[in-house]
Amino acid sequence: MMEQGNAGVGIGDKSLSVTRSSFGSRYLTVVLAVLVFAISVPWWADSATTHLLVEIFSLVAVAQMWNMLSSFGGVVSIGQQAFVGIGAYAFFYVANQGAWNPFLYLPVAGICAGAIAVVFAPLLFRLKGAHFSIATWAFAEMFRIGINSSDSLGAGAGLSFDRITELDRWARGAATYWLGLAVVCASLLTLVALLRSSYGVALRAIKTNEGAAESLGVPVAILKRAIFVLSAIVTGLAGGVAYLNALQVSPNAAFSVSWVAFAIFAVVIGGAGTVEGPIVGVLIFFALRETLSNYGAWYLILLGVAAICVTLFVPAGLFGWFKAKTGKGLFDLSFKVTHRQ
Amino acid sequence: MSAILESLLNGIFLGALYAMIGLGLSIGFGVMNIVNLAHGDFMILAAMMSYGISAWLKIDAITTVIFVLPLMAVLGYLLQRFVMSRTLGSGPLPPLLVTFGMSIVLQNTMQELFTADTRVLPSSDALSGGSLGVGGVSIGLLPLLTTVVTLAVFASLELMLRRTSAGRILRATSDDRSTVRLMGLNDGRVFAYASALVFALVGLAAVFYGIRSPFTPASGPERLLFAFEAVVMGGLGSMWGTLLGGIMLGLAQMLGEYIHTGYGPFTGHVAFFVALLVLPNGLFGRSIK
Amino acid sequence: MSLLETNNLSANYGLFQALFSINLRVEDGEAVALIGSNGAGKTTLLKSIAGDLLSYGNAVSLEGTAVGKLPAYVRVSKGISLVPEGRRLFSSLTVEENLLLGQSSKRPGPWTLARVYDVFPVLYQVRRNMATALSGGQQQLVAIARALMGNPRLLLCDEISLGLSPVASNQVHDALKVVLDEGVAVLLVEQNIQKALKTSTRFYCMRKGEIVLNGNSATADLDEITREYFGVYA
Repeated sequence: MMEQGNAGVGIGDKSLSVTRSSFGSRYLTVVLAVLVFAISVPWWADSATTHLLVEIFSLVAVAQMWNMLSSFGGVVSIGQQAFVGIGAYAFFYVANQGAWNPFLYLPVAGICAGAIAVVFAPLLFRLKGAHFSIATWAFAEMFRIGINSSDSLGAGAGLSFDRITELDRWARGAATYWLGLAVVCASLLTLVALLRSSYGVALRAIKTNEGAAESLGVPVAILKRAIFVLSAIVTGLAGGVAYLNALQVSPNAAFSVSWVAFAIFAVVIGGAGTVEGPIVGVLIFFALRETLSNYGAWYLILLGVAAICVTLFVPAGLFGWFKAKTGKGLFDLSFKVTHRQ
Repeated sequence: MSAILESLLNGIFLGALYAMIGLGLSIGFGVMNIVNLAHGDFMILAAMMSYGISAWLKIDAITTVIFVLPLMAVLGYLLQRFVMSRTLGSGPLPPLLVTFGMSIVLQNTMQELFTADTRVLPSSDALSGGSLGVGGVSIGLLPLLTTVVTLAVFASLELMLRRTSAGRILRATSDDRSTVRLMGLNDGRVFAYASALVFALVGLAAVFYGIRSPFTPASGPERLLFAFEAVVMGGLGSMWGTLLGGIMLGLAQMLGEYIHTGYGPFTGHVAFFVALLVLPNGLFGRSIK
Repeated sequence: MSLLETNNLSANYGLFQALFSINLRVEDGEAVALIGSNGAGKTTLLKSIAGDLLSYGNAVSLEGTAVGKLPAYVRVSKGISLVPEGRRLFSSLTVEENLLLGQSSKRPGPWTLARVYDVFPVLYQVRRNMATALSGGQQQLVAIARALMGNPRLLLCDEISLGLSPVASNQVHDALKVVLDEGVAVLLVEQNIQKALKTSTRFYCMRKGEIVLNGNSATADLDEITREYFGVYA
């Protein structure tokens, strides 16, 4: 089935129409089945499995947000870990003090991370290119060091999710899993919805040629800042869920550059600019981690070398290469512009 | 009073070290438009080189400079010629990704091969412990030497850039790489030599850094961050800006340490963001395209 | 054997083909004009000859030797120098430094710094000024002189009167005459047809990537040129 949509992006001419299709719209039943299957997991899998799945979900969310920023907005951040940590800390802090069911406080993670992004965006965006990127890293470091010295936030030892004991073990694991599932679905929906909207077209224009986009009336500066904040919100949520999964958060872990490093590797190796690519990349990452766990840091070295080789020789990433060869994919983000009859 | 003066001087001396570390970054960006995210890690690699050579030949770290500089220069040349040159021309992302990958690979490989032990580079006690007393203020010999060497390096580089044909070529390449080709020069080769220069500077900084500070394989990224802050505060594209930016950072960090031990890096980062707010192009920067 | 010969030279930018089987020649010491409207492919042709765009080996030959595969910096050492569109002087360098950079290929020949100052005395006066702080006409002279410092056999000039006042434009063309007197061949891209025909002995007219007309400049039929230039056959 084809969906009809009116883009009207910078084109006031209503004689044009944009058509898009997606796997989802074509195979709605399959998507629903997969979702139902995913939701059912806590009832038949063991806790180690659900724990691992939540780790995978949170990295996919962080990776998709990095993907959205860089491949579709031209914004290269190596400070996403700031939002992971801010989200986690906000969630833990508020949930520990709160009176309601602790899991309900997860949105605080997103809100807090988003707010900080709003405050710092004007400062960060004064720089361009690699300098912007390193500034985002400095930004994350500032938080890491600051919280390390903050006793009210547990300093170096961090915080633990105290109120978790209020629920029985299965319920805890299941709730964490479902929150993780919700977050990763949110990240995918955000990405797909954004890109299929007129903002998505505008973002791709910015990525291709910023100057030209600006001269066409695309509000480049506002859009870049907007997706920066949007990615911060979802990354914050992912951080909240990831550390809920671990039941404790510490500054050196939550604000570690590894978060963005793994996200980048997953996106690059899997295929930047696609929705499926980062998922492929994250799965490869975890496969490597689980199989090489006895060999110390060698899986990281392998990952780094793989990322370098892919960047140099297969820039479209593994999935990107696959898609170019076979034209098959799960999420179709392409569109056609035709004249209306 | 003399305590404050000493802190100030130490801030300046620390800043000089940051300037030396940042110089390579500044030239790399100025001439080749590349920011090497593994800059700090290559410096740690050089420090490890110095450590190994001084242990093997039983010499002090300063003397290892004779070996470390050429070795690093060759490494820089090869890396640019065979790896980084492939990333140019496809946008800003590939060089960032490749150097980021190199950073992770370097850190973890060094850790696997050399363990995560903290090391410090050996030097004569007279140097690392010695100090001069000037008007009631005690000035460490090592920081003083580091500052003098930094100034000498900056001055020599300035001379090289202004007075030699190699310097002319570097300046021209940073202006307009493709027109340099029309002059009959292989711009790829110019980049490779520029990279050799950058890596040699990194090697030099590594020795002075390693004598002063204990380091581990994971110490690289934080050095990159400080070096980068120095370069940006001083203004992109300005060599002397990097010197002043380094000093600004050194002073900011010393202020933090003065308030409370360990607060140094934090005040440094804060100062960096404040500087960004007040001087978006740094002290002497040209606006980046 | 001609100094320069192109042999079915074609060029494309991705999917867009800019040149279709160009065959032209330039003899030793000759001045040849290349005229055509915007987008005709003139700059692309110069780039292909200079080496900014690579071609098949024998698509471009210099004195019988195939140079098509050689990159630009090697062609300079073989004697092809390009004065690029927009001059492209190095902004961080003085006039003299720009000139010195021109001799990077170390080709032997009569053009030294002293010689250049002799022939273009105005450059001697401004030699210590920053190159891009000069007037348009003076900058163009620097660009030409810089290319001459490479002691070329063939000088490629891309729109050297563009954006200049009539006086400056005349100065530049006078400079070209001096260059020609010294025996350097010139292939000159020019939008101003009159100027082009005055300075050259032969001309080629291009349209949409092809050569549509060529002949002797002295006996050129302006009406014919105008027709072929625009492709309008009334």
